[in-house]
Amino acid sequence: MNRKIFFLIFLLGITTWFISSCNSGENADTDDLTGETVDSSDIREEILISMLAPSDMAVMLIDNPALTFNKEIINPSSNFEKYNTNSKIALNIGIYTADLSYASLFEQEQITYDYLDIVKDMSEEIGISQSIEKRHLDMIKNSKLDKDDMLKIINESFMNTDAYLRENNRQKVITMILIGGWVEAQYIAVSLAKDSPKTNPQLTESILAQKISLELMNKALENVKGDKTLLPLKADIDKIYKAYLLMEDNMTDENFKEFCNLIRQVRNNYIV
Amino acid sequence: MKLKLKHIIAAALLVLLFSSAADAQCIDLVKTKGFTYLDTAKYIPEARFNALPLREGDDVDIYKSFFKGRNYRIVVVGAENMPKLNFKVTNFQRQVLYDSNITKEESWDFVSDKNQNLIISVEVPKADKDKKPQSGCVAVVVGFAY
Repeated sequence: MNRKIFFLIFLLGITTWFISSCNSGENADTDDLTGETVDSSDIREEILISMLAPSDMAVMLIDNPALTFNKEIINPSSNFEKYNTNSKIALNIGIYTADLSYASLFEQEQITYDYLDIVKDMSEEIGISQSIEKRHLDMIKNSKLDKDDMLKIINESFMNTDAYLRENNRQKVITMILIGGWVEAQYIAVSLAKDSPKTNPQLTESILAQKISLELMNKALENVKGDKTLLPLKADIDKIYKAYLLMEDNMTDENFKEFCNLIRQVRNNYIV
Repeated sequence: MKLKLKHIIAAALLVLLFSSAADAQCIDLVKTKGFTYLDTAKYIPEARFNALPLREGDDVDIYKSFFKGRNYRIVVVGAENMPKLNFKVTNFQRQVLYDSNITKEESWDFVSDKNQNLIISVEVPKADKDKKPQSGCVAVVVGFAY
């Protein structure tokens, strides 16, 4: 009888381990996002801080008829092979999602498709299996879609990822994706602004407007004290916020340029 | 002993099964009822997943950024077994901009007059004293139009 009980407990243990392995992405090099558990004190019960998704960031910032698509700005697709830790993968899922959203706004179907495919592979690498549906990739590849249709597909795919991560208690991963996406969308915007507030006043206004989304991000990061993965990102966000405050106090060409340089520096650090 | 163990295993499997089912219900609620009320032909749904299981008597606050000049629709829906939900939209000083208790609508259309962070507060009304509280998914879907 005891052996039977032991066997059943062992079987239950193996099953639990197998399910958690499936959820946490065994293929990537391990770091502390794998099999992540979030301490309940890190989560604010009954408060959801809905920071902007990378695709929504791109719309709010760079959906502007006076702008054009510039392939040189975005993170090269060849880079994705070098992201071999879960935290790098999470950050760059956000970065590539912002890039493909930028491409979709200018109806660049091929780039949107290629980058969505990369995001799908990277998501699977960290155990997110239900993000981008094949039918969505096929629709982008085979149908002539306008930017609204592409955006709906991108947003639905992101929502799948978000839902999957929320439901599997992997808030840290979604936070990293959102930070990567926020920084990349800003990087695209400041690149298109050519580091000057005068290049495109509407774009400058959109860049400045994002101070409020950064405030929400700060709120979401309030409880990360001691978290070695999120702490460096929080430090980046704090620096960017201070640069915003400086521009708010004194909006000069120089302060705007400083802001652009800071965004570039943070982004370039994320994509290496 | 054998019977007890069977019960424990069966209970564990049921918990696992029901939690996966509840998770799937939330995303389904967003994409079916949520998107229908949003009217995706007119509004592009934003990408964040703002849904979670709640019980009668619970409430949730969602903090979200809205941008000047944008045309938004906020939709609040619950699972079939849930009572009609109430929601308010307030600023951070808790000044009420919208209250569904007054309009009796599931959605609110508005143009943001400035860049602002707002709080969408959803309340699931309490169950009657003699009834067991129901639980189910609650979803807030936000979309924007050009």
